[in-house]
Amino acid sequence: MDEVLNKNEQRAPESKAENIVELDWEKLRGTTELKIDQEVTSAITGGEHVLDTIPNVTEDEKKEFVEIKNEIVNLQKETRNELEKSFDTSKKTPENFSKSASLLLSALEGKEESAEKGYVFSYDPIMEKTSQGKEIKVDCLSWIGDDGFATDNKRRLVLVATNPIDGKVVGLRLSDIRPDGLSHDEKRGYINKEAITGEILTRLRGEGIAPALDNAFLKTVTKIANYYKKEFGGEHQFTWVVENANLKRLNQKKEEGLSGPELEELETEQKRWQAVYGENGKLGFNKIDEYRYEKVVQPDAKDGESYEMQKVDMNKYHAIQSSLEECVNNEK
Amino acid sequence: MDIDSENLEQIKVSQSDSDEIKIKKIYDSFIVKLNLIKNKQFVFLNNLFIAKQQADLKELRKKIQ
Repeated sequence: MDEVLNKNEQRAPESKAENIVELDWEKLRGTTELKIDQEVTSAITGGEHVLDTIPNVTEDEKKEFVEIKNEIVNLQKETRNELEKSFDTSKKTPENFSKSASLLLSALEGKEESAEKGYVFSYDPIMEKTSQGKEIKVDCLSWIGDDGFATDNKRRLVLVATNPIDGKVVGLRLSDIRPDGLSHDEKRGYINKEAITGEILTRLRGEGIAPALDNAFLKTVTKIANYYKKEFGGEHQFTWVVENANLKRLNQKKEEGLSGPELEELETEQKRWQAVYGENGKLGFNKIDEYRYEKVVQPDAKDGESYEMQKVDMNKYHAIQSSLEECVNNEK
Repeated sequence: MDIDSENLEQIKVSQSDSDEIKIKKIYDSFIVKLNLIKNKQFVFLNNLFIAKQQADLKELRKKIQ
């Protein structure tokens, strides 16, 4: 019994502290939105009050007044959106993003000893610009995953995109490169096929992070293709396959009869997806079936250049772990 | 609040700002923009008021004459 009581006593302050943090944040959001609404109401009613005192106002004059009023309402909407975005960045990390960050963090903890021994590899970071003009720094880590079959080892390739200013993780690409059999071509002879699958997760939507991150991914996979070509010789074909999960969700929601803003959001997201991964999209994928698209990543090896991945520096490894911890802690 | 459109650049949200600063800057920027629209609204209503007064005066003069 004592033990139970002690445990409860120890737990109480912790849960209180968590509540205080949540309450303060919600309070800040609430008071800011309330202040905005009050300012808007005061500006509109003040104007209307003055207008009511002016005699013989024509329809055109009223129309002009309404246009000014609409400017105020639009400003209110824009500011609320901006605030929402800000809260999204700071607090509302999407659940799937935090979960993936947590899974990756666990994987890196498990691989730490292996990294110290030199079995986790990396290239130099790649800097990319998003369509919004913001820079992201993309670090990569790779290791050979042992699935118990010596002949079917997969290479795990992980890309972590961070905002170089505050160091916060903004995107993750978790991928596998695995042998996918042999094919034969009259010109090229036997070709070792390598299939690339995986998923991309971004912390914010509509910020252009995914295309920038996948641009870095493409550069990294090209380097790996160069490495295979130089190191192993023979022909290798890297085929990157992406699945349009958003379209699946969209079709499902349509079947369920969903309409309104939620459906519109999925449709907007679908347009963004198609612009990047769809046919004639930015990254040059080709359609395989309703939901899958593929792209063959061609090597572009230059003479005298090395494409070998370096053993990861442990400072870099720990820095990536720390940045992932922030995503996971943010979820709590 | 003693801020006007010239201050908009200064209160532009930067990625390096803390969460609290970001919120404050968004709010300050809102106030600056709202003041500009309020000013426009005031000018419009003021001009309308003067125009109507002048029209009334004109009408009154006509009646007196």
